[in-house]
Amino acid sequence: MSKRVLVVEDEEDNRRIVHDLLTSVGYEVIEAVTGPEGVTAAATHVPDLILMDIQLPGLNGYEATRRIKANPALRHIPIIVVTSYALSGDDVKAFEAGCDAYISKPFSPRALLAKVREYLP
Amino acid sequence: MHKRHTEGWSRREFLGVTLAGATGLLGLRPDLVAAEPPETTTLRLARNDFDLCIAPQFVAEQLLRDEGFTDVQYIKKDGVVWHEIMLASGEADISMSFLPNTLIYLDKGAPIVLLAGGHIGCLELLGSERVHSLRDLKGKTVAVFDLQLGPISFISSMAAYVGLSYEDINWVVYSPAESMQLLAEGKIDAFLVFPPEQQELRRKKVEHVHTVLNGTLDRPWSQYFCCVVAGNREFVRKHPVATKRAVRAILKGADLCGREPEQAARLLIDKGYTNNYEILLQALKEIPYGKWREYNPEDTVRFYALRLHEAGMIKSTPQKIISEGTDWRFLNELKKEMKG
Amino acid sequence: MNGKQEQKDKKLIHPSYFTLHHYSDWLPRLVAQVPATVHTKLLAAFLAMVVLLITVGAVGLRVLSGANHRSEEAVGLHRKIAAYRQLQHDTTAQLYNVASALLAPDERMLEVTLRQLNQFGYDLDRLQFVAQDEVELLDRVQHEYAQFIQIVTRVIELLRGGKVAEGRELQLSQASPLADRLERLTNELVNKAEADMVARVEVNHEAYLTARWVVIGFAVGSIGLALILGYAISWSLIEPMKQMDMQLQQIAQGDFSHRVEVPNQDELGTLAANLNRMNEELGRLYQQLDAANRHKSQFLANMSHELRTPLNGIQGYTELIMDGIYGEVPEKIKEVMERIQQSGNRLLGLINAVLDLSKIEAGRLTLSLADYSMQGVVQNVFTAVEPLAAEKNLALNVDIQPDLPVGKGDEQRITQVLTNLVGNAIKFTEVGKVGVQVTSLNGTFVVAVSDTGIGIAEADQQKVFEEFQQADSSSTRKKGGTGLGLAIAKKIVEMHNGRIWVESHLGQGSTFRFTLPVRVEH
Repeated sequence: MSKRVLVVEDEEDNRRIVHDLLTSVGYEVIEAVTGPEGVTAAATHVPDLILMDIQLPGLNGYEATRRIKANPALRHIPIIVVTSYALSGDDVKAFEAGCDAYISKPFSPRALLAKVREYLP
Repeated sequence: MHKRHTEGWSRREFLGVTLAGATGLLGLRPDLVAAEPPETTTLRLARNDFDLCIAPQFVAEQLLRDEGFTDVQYIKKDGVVWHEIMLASGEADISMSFLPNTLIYLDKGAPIVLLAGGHIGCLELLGSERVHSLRDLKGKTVAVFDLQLGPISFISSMAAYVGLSYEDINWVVYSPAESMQLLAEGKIDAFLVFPPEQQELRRKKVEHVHTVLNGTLDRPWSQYFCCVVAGNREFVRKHPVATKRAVRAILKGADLCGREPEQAARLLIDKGYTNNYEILLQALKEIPYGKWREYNPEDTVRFYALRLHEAGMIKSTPQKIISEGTDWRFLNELKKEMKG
Repeated sequence: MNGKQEQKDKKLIHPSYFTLHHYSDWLPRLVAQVPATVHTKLLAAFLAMVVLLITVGAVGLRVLSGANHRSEEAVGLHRKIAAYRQLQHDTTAQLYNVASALLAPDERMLEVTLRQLNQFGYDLDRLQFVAQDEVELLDRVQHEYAQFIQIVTRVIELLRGGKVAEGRELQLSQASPLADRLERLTNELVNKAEADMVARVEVNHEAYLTARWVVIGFAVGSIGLALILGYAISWSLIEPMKQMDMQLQQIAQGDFSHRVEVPNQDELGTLAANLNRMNEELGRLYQQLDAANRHKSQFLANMSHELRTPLNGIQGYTELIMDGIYGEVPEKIKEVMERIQQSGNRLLGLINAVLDLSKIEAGRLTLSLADYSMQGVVQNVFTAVEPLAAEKNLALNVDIQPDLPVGKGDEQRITQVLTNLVGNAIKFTEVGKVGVQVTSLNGTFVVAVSDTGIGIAEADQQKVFEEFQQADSSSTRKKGGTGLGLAIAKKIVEMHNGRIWVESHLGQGSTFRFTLPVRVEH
């Protein structure tokens, strides 16, 4: 069975790049556009990895991450946070929210793939 | 004017007061009309039996009665009590007193007022062979009754007159009898003697003792009174008529002592003041009693006040003592009335 | 968060300062409220003190003149006493003469006696008489003496006539008492004068005591007044100044919230009002600045996100295409795709540089300090730039001092600096080599990046560290780069409390050096 990756990202291009990249190497990709959608999708599908964008409309990525991690059923899922790294302290915030790793934008797809492979060999 | 008790005024007294008051209001000197009876009929005088020079006071007993005093008391106290003390405390109303001593009391603020001069220098300074003049007193031992009051006031005045100070003399305290003895033995150098001891000693002719100063003869002391007539201030203020009458009686007594000393001596012997007629007579003869008319008592006060001030025994100025402690009105009137 | 915020919360409190003057400050306040210039107030104060001094001086003079007057009076009295004593002496002398004459009544003696009788007297005109009765007394003396002369003359006549007994009799009965009276009168004169003297001495003493108290009183009063005045004026000036000083300190600390309250109606009052106005202005400006900064921060954050997002799209898709996710890519397109990628990279570099610089300018860039290995940093940089050097056939030399201590600083930023320097070295060198030397000395790292490139003219050596400056603007296009790298590198080095500079000659290569404290703590 192929590993499932949940991508929570509001920008269509970014979503598409991740989707195209991961599916080309055999991952199954579930997409969510907003924070709440992401939380629901995580609960519904219980993916093997979550890629969470930070700048989301409404509920931001940190809060979504916190909610998912608060759910005992979903706590085990590794969450990689994607941030623009505009302001210092973002990394601290990310880890405080409970994410397992972060990657800053703009990212090279190869680098993202490498990071994903770390968690989902 | 005069504050008096409202009870017991006779009409005569009342009239006299209004008259005196009227004259006072008109700015005239209030004439203390001697025609009136004295305000009080009791008169107390001081007495002690060693100061016999103030014989006029005792001689005047009947005269005082004649003046209207029904109750004439001679207050005698135990021991040596100066007349000034009795006057100051009010135990005596009028009395003669030793002037230099009285000045010291006045300086301390005693309520005494000097009324008239008495007699001249009834004293003698006796000295050992080492003392021939007042100046010789420097560094010598002099015996006195008391270190603050009494004869010491006079000796200090004499010493100041020749430029000596209180500290220049070695003062010791002995009674007159002891002093005489010690002087004869040469253990002290000088002491002051009064009648009648003065006369007794002269009779005895003690060896190695001589007169350094005789108050009745030696100048300038013979120009000044040594005893004066004084009164309690309150008494004089309240009873001016009585005061004048009392003073008159005493001055008459003085005249009597001067003119008829035998009679005076007899009177005193009869009254029991002393036993020795001869000595007393001698004293009365020697003392000049008649000078109260001629000599100026105010100048006497001034002179002794200056000397005592120099000696450091009084602090007030002579002018202050005169202005606060003397009242010559009675004397001035009596001088006019009693022409010698 | 921001250090500035913390400083703003700290207020300067001097509680003791306020309670100290609470009770006694009504007087300075009163003085302060007087609507006159400081100059006028000070002048008034000094004038007041001068007046007080003059007063004390005048009082002192008056007292002195009083004392002088009294001493003159005393001298006069003394003269009078002397005169009266002379009179007294004369009287005694006369009496003596007469007495001697009587003892030895020869003609010559009698003649002398008579003559001397008339020489009695003293010119008393110059003496000042205190009381009326003195004059009367003197009159009496003259009168009595006249009588005395009369009688004695008569006595001498009798003696001359041989009537010795009669003469003696007259002498005794009349002359002696007269002489006595004369003596007493002159005594009285002398006593009176002496008593006057004693009284005067006492009066003088009292007067002196009074005068002394008057002078002391005036002096003390003047001193007190002067002190009070001095205190009132100086505090009316000092207190506002202190308050303003405190206010200024607070402003310097960034606290614009307080206002100076000063009752002065003079220049200081104006100054305080101006200070308050300035405070308000500054506060407003500061707020504006703060708002602007916040906006800028917000803007940066937004811009960062906004700029990177589409760029992410471009880079992302480009890479995917290049990796063949969407199918095979023809060669021609591949080449162009690479160009697109490079452009994208450059754009990214520019965005980063601009955002970095903006952050630095806004003071928003902070270092994250952690332990790092300088050796590791150099290795990383070298790994990254090796391909570039190889492309140009440049030699890359490394000289790292062994046993380098462990450093503490922002590793990422330091890497950024070294990368920039080495990158520049490679960029601006066509042939030769690029070398990196790292040493440590007295707690400071010294890093030198040298090249055999075109070098930098002395005139440009300062310029290169400025933003958007390259030594030769024409070369910018050719060489690429943003022109921001060195500016950022300088800022980063300085934020680490280090220094960066260049040693170079045109055409002879360059060496960029920078120092860094081994351990950075701030």
